[in-house]
Amino acid sequence: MFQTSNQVDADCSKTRAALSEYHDNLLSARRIIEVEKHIAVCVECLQASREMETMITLLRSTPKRDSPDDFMMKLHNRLDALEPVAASPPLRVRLLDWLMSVGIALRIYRLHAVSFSLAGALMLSIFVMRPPHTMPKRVETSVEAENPSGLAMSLEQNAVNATEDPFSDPVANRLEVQTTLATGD
Amino acid sequence: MENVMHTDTLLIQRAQANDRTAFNEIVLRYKSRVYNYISRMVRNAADAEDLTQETFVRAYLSIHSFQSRASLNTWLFRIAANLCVDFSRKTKTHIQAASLSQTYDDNDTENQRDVPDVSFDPQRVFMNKELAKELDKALALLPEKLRSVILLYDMEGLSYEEIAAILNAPLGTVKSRIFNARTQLRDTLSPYLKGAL
Repeated sequence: MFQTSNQVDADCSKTRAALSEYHDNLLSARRIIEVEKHIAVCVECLQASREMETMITLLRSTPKRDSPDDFMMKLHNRLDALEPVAASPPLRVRLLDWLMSVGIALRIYRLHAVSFSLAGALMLSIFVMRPPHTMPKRVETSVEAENPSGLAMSLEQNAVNATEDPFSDPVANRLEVQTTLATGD
Repeated sequence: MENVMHTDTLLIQRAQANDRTAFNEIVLRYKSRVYNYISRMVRNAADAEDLTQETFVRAYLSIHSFQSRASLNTWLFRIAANLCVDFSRKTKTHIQAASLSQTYDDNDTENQRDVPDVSFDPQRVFMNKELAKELDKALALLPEKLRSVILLYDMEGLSYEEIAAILNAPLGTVKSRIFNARTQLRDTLSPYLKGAL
């Protein structure tokens, strides 16, 4: 298949960018095939691949430098000069120790009142810190909600009632009738 | 590898209980690797020794806070890497290695710019002292960040994930640094590598 020079350049740069991971065997199978297909036809990329491979092998086989012979002796001298390091227990253990020591102190000093107060304060704080109840949504009366003109009617009725005799109580009238009947016997 | 981790865990537990013998065992196990890394980061034997000592002193002092979730070598290399960064900041020698011309003008390496003999045996490439010397110089020319990852990856054999944990860097950054470091090394060593092929 015919390839333009731009496409070849793009393939070359793509291949060279993948060479490091190619030699670490970290590419996907599809990508490995692409790289190998390209270096099979591109002499420059093949050369770059071989150089990369040689360099990686060289890096990995370079002799390691070892520390001087007296390294351990010097280190011992430095560690000996340090204060002994006290082991610090984990946080959980320290917290438990603290709680136990508080409990023991309360028992020793017979501070029952203190412990009850603490427990009471704890319960109170839990009660106070509860999330507040949500107020129920105000329910509108059917008159107000469904018929705005009903509000005007009830206001008018109130006005009429107000003009009447405030002492004329129908309930009281009924009671009075009953009382009259009772005394009539 | 799992056995090493297992014994490392035991050694740490004993060292955490103030067992100095166990801590010595840890030092003996890792001092060469740590020294090799530091010596290539600071390029001065005396400084490398001091920093390696300091790495283990700090490890000794903070062994009680070591969490067994991390691996011991990752932890030690992290201490070492941080010390190298601090050292570099203090001395302000950003391993700004000498320029190429200065590097190759050393008296004992007059002809190092020459391309090696074409009869160079690829099988013996690793034994070739000249090429190893050139590699040391090329490594020294790398910026610190690139040198650090390439030393940890190719020389110490750590994984991308371990290096990311040591350097506190994203995985993608580690990958791109490895790629850049290798590309720069290949470019610097190209004449020698061609001869080695």
